[in-house]
Amino acid sequence: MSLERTAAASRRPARFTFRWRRWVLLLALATVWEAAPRLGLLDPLLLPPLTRVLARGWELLAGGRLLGDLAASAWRVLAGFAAAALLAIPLGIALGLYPALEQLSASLVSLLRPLSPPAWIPLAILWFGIGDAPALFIIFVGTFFSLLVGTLSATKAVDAQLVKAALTLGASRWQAVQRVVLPSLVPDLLTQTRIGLGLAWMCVIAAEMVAVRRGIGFMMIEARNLFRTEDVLVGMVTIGLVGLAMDGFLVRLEGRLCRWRAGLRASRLYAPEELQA
Amino acid sequence: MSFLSLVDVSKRYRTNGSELVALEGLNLAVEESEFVVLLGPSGCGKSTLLQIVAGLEQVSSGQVTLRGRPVTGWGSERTCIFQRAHLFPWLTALENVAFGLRLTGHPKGERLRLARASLARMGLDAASALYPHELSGGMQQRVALARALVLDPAVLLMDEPLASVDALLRSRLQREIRASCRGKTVLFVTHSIREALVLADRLVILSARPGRVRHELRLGGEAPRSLSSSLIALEEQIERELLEDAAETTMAPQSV
Repeated sequence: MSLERTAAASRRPARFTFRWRRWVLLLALATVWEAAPRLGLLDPLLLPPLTRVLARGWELLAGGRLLGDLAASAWRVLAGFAAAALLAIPLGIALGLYPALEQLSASLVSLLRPLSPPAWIPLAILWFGIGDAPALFIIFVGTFFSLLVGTLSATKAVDAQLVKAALTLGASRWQAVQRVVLPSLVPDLLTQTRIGLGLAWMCVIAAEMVAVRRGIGFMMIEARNLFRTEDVLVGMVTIGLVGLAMDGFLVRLEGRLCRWRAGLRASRLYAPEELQA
Repeated sequence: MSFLSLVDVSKRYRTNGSELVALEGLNLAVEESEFVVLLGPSGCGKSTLLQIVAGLEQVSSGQVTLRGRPVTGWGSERTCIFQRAHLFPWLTALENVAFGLRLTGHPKGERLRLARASLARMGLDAASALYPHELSGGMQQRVALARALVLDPAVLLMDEPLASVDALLRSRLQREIRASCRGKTVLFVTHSIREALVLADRLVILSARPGRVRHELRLGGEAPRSLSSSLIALEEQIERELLEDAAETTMAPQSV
């Protein structure tokens, strides 16, 4: 039997399995979440059934409260992350290009990087008080080092031969950075952005729980104080959905910007035909 | 004064206190439109020599001049072709060829026209919209050649450009290289004696480390040559010579 025919024969059922597989765990979780409190296996006060959480979510959405909090959080995430990226990416490239700079900064970076973002919260409040400023600061320090180290190591891994080729084609050092180093970094920078935005969301929630009077994190901590478990869960579901949307967008962007990469996936060495989407 | 000349060129590397002499007192003169092949055992510094002419490496002493002017740094007048094509993977074949023209500020329309023409001369019209990973090794090397030739360099430097293609394709590409470099000044490095004999106007044999010119040979007839019995006899003679050279260096204890 020819290879093509084998592939064609397995294509239709394979696709079905794949789509279905994607939702199976989620459906199972939803079922347990709905059933357990209704059957009295869990206290509905601590875990309200899914449908009640969804109904409450709709209420908050329609009332405008949820969107307001979401916008406040999203704005902080984007602003804090953008500030970190604008500083960390050029700096990371510079450190990657010049070993002397890397050595100069290495110990400082290793010292500051392991500090988890919440560890900065007390200092941020002392410095900036309550409001947007400490939240932005925490997102900034929470994502800056990860971006810096990621950009640095990606820059060091750029193919020197490609740079040489560019130079002998008439590029200056600076042009080679623009036209060879930067495009080489695009796939890594997109990965860094995915990781960084995820980190930024973790930071913003932590910051809002203590230092801010608006946002999803604040909404959740307020709901906890009033024992409104539904609202806490609405906050959590919202964060999850926003993360999903963000990641989906970036994956799409990656697919579009990195068409030139012939990756391991394309080789199909590891995933057999049935697992291909 | 020759078109391209290397006078008393030496290159020494310092590594952990010990010194490695890659080239010593090397003299070489290349005339305009000459196709010179550098041949030598591995480690004789022939690639280093090419990098020096390209301006990617500095001489330790001596001087390199092109048209009477000392060579300092790199530039598109001395373009390189390497063992692998090193195409920019995020650019299509056409965009790769247009890369150098973009740096010199050619307007977009002209850039694409020149790049298209250069690709067409290598017989690659159909591949212009493909990305490097969609091209075979031989096609990639042809794109690299088109990318270099479109800049009309004063000297084209080739560092074993055919070392990683199979034998059949190799002889075809040798012909294509000679055809597309007609009238060009070329410095071509190889470790294949046969390739050198097929391609060269003049053959320069380097000694093993430290590299210096051991022997020069002007070859008659029009290159690319087809293999004749006299060419094969010459090949065997050069091979013997290189083997002796290698034996000498392994016998002599190197005091570093």
